[in-house]
Amino acid sequence: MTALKVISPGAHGIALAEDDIAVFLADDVQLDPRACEIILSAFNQYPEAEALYWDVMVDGHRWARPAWSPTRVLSEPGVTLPLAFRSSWTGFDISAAPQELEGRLASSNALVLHIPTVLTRHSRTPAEGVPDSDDLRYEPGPRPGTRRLRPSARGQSSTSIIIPSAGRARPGEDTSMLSRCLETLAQLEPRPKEVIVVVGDEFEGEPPQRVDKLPIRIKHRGTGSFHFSSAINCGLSASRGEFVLLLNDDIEAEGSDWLGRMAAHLDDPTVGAVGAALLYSDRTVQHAGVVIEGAHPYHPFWNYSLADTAPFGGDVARDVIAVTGACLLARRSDLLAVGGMSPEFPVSFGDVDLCLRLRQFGRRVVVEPAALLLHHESASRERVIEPWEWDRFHGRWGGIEDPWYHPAYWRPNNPDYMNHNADHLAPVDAEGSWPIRTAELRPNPPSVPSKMNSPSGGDLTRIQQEIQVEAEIRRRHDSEIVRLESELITIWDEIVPSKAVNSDDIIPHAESVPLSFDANPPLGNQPIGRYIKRVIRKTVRWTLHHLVAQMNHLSRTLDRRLNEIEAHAHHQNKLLEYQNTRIAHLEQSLQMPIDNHYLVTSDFLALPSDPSSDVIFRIVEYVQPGPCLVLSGGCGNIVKSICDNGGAAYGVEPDKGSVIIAMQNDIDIRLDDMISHMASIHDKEFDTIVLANAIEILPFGCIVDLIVEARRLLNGNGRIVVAVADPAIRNPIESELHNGLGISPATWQYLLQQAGFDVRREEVSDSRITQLVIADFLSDKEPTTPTSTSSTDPSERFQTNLQ
Amino acid sequence: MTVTVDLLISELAFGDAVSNHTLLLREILRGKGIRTNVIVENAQNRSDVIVLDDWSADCDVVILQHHIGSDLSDYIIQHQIPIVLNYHNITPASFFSSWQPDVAAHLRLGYQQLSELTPLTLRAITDSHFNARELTELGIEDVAVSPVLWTLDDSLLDEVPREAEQSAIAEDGGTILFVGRIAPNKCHHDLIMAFGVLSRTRPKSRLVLIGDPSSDHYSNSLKYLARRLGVYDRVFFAGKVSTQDLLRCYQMADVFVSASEHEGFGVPIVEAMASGLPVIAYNAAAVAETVDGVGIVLDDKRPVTLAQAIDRVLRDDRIRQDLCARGKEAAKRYDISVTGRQMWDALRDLLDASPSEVR
Repeated sequence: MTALKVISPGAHGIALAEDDIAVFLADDVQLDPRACEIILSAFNQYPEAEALYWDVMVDGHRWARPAWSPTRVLSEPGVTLPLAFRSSWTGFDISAAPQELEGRLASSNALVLHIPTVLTRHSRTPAEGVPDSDDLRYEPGPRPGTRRLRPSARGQSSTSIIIPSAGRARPGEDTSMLSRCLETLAQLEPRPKEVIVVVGDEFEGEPPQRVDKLPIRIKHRGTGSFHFSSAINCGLSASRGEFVLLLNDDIEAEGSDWLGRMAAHLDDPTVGAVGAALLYSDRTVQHAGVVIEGAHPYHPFWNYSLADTAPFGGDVARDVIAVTGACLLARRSDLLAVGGMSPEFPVSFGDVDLCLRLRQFGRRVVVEPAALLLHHESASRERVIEPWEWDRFHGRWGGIEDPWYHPAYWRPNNPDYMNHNADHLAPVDAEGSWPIRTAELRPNPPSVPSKMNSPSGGDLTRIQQEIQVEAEIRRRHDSEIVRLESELITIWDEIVPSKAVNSDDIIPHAESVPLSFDANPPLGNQPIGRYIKRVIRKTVRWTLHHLVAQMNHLSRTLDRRLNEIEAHAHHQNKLLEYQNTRIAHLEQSLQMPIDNHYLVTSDFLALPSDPSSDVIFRIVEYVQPGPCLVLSGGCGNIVKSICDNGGAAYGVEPDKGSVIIAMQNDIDIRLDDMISHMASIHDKEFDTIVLANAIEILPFGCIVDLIVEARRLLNGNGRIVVAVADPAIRNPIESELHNGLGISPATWQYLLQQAGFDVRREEVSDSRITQLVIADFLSDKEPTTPTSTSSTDPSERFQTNLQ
Repeated sequence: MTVTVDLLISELAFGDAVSNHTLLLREILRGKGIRTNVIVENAQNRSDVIVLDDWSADCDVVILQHHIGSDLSDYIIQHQIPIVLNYHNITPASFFSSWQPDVAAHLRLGYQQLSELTPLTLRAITDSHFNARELTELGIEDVAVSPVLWTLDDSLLDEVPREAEQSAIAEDGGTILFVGRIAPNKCHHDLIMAFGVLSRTRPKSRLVLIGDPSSDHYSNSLKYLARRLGVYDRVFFAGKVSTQDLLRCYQMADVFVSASEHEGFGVPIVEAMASGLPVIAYNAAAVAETVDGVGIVLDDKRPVTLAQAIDRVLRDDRIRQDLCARGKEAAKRYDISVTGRQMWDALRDLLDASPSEVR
């Protein structure tokens, strides 16, 4: 049977049973009559709890205590006394002083409860002053009975400081806030590992120079609007230190060891984030930890002087639920493990969210008021919190409670109080009692309505971070990839047109254009002058002659192109007419108007489809074993059959609808113009070229170009297989649409023979394609015509032959 | 007497998000028994719209779609007509200044008009909080957020929709998709450069780019870039495609990647999510808001990082399945049944009010 044993300090000879609860109380302390029952039931409720404490009344004033904070207890020993211990706790020793036991509790990972009820009344403070400690890690604190960690020089020198900055100055000042901040950072001794300034396109003025041996690196975060979170993540991925300090550029540091004081807390592996005390220039508090109340984060002690916060422990290091990201020190590995700052909170709440996620990760968050910095917060930006930011924060952390915010304090429950009021820190309820509170780290998030907070939501953030880290690692270890990357960027930079053309500059000023040219240079009438004049005249005449010849050539070429375009336009018009008839028919049958906004022509095109399987089977028979090109590839059935039969083929197809279908079936059909695709390939690449599908509706000129190119691409024993329908046997719609396009197998045979092929025709049984044309390359036999004429234009050459 | 609403949009174009939005809004309002007309600058053979020149402004509520400088907006400003401003964000002109100075000028005009429209605005409705912030900064107080109306008609598809359990992707392959007008702000060049890196380890992968080229200059430069990188064969500049082909592409692709630096909302991202396609996006403008914890959001889009992200998603079946399931779930938020109601809620009191009160 568990029993409560009250022990006077210094008492001897008291025997405790295995499961007894021991309380050390001075003789003059009044114990509340309910105390015994409440304490025992609390231990019953939390079997894993090793100790507990409660609120006390000293001299008629309630001491509303925070939840268990190992850091606070170590900096202000005795602050949680009197304590009740489970005598079975391994650290328990009846002969030890209560304060020593409290210290052991703080150094262990034991669960300690806080009962927010007044159970004892004291006439003087329960703590008896700091016991003499030989712990060299500590030095005396700001007031008697307190102490603080000595700065860690090692921690300070292994910190990367990340400062996102726009390079702006405070109104009415010339020096940018960033330069002032860097100047104060230069006072740090020893120096931090590096200072990473994250800048974007909006950065004003000159990038910061090296300040007094401070190792500064500039990191460009890319373009796009400024997000504090992403800027920090960008700096994080570039950082190299063991610790990382997130710092705003409107902060001015004081002294040489504040960073070391913060870093000293990270010697404790359970601490994950450390904040500092930030003061306004009038030395009142801007930040000394964050409290969360009713799912709203507040800055307590706002506008107080730091000394005034002593009754609440505001001047000593202690656990808090979160600290501001304006100055936050953490391990780089922890930040990477929780995925850095969340892009969901680009400006506000990113810091609170980060701290809460670190707590989920099993790390405590502490604030060290001995690290003092000046923060000109209002100078950097108007702090306006958007409604969606509130929504998002509540969505993610709606159920969270701040154990260090005592329930006896006033609950403002109004976000307007954020930053603007600290009066609520006085306990308004002197006698009330509330359920037990623990400062346990929550392994899982509180009730989360939004799915982005599901465990895999954290996964996603982690994956995003991992990707960026992996990429960074790849860059670091693969010099070739770095070279490739910079080469890519250089190539693109070369392509990009020169920056910002002002539209006023596009039209040249008329005055600046030379209007006339003096054809009679004033050289006098001497023989030498006449000679020079003659030379000039000859040169001019020759040049003009040449120019005219060029112009004539150009106009001929343009004429030809124009004809082609006209033919194309004719074709398109026919298509349009056809489409309109189709729409009219459809509208008639559906008895409703069709919104042609939603129609795209290709649905209505009567494009030749892939040949029937019988024909494809025959085509495959003629395909030679080596590489094969299929023009046009259509939906890929020909290519697929060739590949299925062990061949190596791919197709080129200008119609994107067909290509998409082919891609869907994972067939290698490339979207490109056929002729220009062929032009990009080296000589003698293929053993077979199959001409099918859209070849059927090529204009004559294109077919000639195609044959010339195909001949170039085939190797010595190459073969062309033509599988197209005879234009003579088209159905009425096709003949209407493709009028004048395509040639018959007989013409194919003739053209290919002219191009130096040995050609035969094979009958196939198909309703559209009646004959295949098989053309074998005679490599030893020169084509009959090409080199004999002076014209270099292939189509003209063939036309000559045909006449 | 029934309320009449006129929807003003400078141009209706196939496949354009704002155009589709306007037409869907017309359907919704007509469904509520409100006489609704669409007013455009140029009818372009459409019979169901009114041309600005014939417009009398004789209606109860004018809803103006604003995303670029237009004569319509000028008309509103000149005649001082009170409007409901349906704002879809204006791409910063700087993206276009070196490629298409004319477009840049239009965009600048759009900004100028926006500030002149501010005093005429009874209420602003916009697609994202990102846009809303911009309007609030301009001094418009009554801003409602309602995502762009959008619908994916998958009845056009005969294939079975993508399921979460999908087969593994070949180690050297994979199909990467981006859908969006080929314009400098969408940063296709970053995709092609990343593809250049990815191709080293995945020589059979493909990059499919769907979208109308806004300028030949940029689009040709992209093609040239692809040729320089030796990947032209495997980059598909598909241009504008039919709805059916678009759906096919969403079905066929393995991952949707956006390197865009400016999106007022990002309809294709939602389309990809609805099709169960994993999304990787660069964190800019309203993108993170739209992707909203259901896709990979990157703060860095240098080629190696982007390629790493694509490779990771192609490699890791678990992530793809996870993203596929989340995307489908998240896209429900943007279903027309939801967004339509949001839109209606944003307009309702204006339309319920008696005509005299509104004008």
